[in-house]
Amino acid sequence: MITHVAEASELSGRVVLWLDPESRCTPTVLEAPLRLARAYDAEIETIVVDQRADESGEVPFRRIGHVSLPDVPPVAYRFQLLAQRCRRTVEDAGRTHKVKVRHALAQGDAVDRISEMCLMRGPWNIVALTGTPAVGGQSVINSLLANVSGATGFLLCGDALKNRKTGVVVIVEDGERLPSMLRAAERLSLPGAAIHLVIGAETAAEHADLEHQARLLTADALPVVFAPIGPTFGVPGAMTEIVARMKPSFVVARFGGTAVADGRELSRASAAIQAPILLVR
Amino acid sequence: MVFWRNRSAKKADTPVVAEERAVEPAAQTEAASAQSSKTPPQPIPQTNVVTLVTSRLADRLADRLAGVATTAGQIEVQDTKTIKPPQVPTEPSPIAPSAQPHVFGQKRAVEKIRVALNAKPGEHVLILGEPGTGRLALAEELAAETARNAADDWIYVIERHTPTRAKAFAIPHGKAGDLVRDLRAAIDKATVAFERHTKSDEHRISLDLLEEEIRYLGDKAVDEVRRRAESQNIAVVKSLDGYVLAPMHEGRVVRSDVFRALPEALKRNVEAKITTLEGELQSIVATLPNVEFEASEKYEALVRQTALRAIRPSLVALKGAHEDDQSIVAAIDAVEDAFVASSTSGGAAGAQAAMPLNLAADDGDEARKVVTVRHVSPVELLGEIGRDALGRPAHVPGQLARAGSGFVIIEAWRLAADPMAWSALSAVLASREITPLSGPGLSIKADPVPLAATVILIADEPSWSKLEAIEPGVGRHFPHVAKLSSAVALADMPEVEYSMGAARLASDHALRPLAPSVAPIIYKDAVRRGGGRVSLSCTTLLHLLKDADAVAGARDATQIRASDVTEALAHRADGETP
Repeated sequence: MITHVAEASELSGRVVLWLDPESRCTPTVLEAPLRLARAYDAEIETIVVDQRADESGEVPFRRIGHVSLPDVPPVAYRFQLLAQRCRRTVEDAGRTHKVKVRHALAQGDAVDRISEMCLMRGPWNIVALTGTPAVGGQSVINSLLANVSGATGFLLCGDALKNRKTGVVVIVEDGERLPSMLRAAERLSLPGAAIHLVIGAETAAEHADLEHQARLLTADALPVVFAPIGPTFGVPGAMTEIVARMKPSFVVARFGGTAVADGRELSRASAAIQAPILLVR
Repeated sequence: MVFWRNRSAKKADTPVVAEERAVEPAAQTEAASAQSSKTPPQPIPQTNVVTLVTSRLADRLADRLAGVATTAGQIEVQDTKTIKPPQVPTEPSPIAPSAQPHVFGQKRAVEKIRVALNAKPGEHVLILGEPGTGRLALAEELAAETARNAADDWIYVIERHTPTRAKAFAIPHGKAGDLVRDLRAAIDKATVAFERHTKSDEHRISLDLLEEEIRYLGDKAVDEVRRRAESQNIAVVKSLDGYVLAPMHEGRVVRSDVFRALPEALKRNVEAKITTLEGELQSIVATLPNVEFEASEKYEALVRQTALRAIRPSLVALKGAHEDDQSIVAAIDAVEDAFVASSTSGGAAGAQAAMPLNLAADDGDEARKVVTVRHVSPVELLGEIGRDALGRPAHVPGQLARAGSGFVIIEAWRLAADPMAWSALSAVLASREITPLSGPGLSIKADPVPLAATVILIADEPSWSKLEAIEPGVGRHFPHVAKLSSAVALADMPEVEYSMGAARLASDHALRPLAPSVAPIIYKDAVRRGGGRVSLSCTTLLHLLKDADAVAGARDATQIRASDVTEALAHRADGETP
């Protein structure tokens, strides 16, 4: 849990940044994992999972849907170039944010390799995904959570950290996780900035109960603002839209909750909110 | 000495002012006797030259004598008889202007024109006559007097599905201007609202979700094949612009040396699997553009909804105000459609395409009942759809449309000088429809609208012959022909009538009123010009009266008097201008 992060942050925490060289890898996208790493004095370790095929040999290798130009570079070569570019971008951003960056290259199934990485080093890891897979996103995260005891959270990188009107938004769905989520939000917030709490409840009674708990927990703590939002009554995507309208700079939510529910909803939420979403166990 | 011979020859033509001599002293005597009993005696004048007869020759002689006496001082004044004190002349009542149009002796023609102007629209009028007979002024005056039923106004809206067409909508008379103003205001508001909506969080989120939907549908289409491939140890790897199929073992793509070591049967089996999957994947990838196309339809629907949300509130109020008039409701619907369609295809450009164009009275101009065409060209006559300074479609109505159901007066010589304009006009007369032209750089075909105005063609024989030569048979469009005479017999135009007409002419042109003594002079001049008949040339008479008015003005006279006219005639005989 993210609680472990906060408690063990003095030591060897790590943000594992899964780079897909063929997807978007810009300084804006990278800002979220770097901010997270800096908030916890952690380092970033990138991992590029190489699934390249050997085009030169006898392996039956087919390209589909590619531009049929005669001088298309081999996939492996292109992959290599793109991976280098991504790493360079991360290093530049790391220098700017004064965060240490390491790189790792793996081959084979991405989930397996990341699981192995997280198991090798601890005590905590946050896996950052530069892009949310439209299909099977939940299965990736589920697999990692199931396989890796050291993976404490996931960060879906958004690209709109600047010009946001609200600071860090915490979607509260149970009182048990709230303290740890608040600590994470506090670290991610700018000094003196308020943390916005959104009660993610489907019914009015549940909403009142959660709000009561949240107010008790935050009574003499940080500057916390309760968003004036009622229950969602189970309307799909309602919470996503509410949070998207708030234009937060960072969202902390529980993975598998009702607010950011299944895999499809996860990718929809990431697309609509456009801000980085830190998902805790 | 030639001067004196010419003068005497011209004097023979100049009417004698016997009446003035007889009347003016008598009137002055009476007035003087009346004044002498009431007013103190006037001081004796310093000059002994008294001009009682305002003859030009006498004036000149008096001036010469006075000049010689004052400059040389050598000629003594011989006439030292006591001079009567000057008496303030009392001017007689001026000639009353004729109540009828000032065209003299054209009673039959005037009557004919009146009947023609009161005929149904579409029966055009041809007024034939010599230049200077007052055809244009007569046509303008008679047309202005004629009452016409108002015709419908028209507005244009660029159609949604055919952006090259400007569809015409008939609007009840007098409502087009207000309607177009209201519609333009509604479109302006809607444009602002549309921009606001498209920048709103709601719209942004919808678009983001739509993009996500496209991505999801694309990946979902491939996902099934991917799973089946993985179950057969074939990797489907997404790359930047497509997919790669390769054999896989224990979660990793097989290296070539490993693959080489495989048994031949297994190799063939893997290749067969890959070939099968390749075909499937290719067929799926081929359908991905359809997915994107469906998504683009959703995008269009989203923008359409946003556009409707922007424009509906304004148009609902307008529709409510005109709910009884189906043609207005149809026009408003067309504007709504055009706005929505163009918004989905081009954002702000949409508002331009939706801009309604007022046919009859654009830019606040009131439709005029009588339009006299001063500049003739196809564009001037038919109008043009072009672009305004802001780049929006704009309609500049032609003279035929501006007249509405009134009259369009055109001089034939202008048309004869521009055969293109005459062709355009004759086409309108034949079809009875006006089709505005498309401006440079625009391909908009406007719907024709009915010609509601009556064309009054002012022509002389040569011009009319030219026009008929250009468009043979065009005379059938002018069922009413009125011919103005250039001269009439003395019996048909007595002096009194002529002078009243002249007084009307002077009055219409803001000249001084005519003294009664003027009548015989101008009448005699008209008879002289008519060669024994009375000339009906208004232009010549007007020029004479203008000259005489200038002379009277120089003399501070309040009326044009016989002496002024005489002097004007003398000036004209000398070839001078006052």
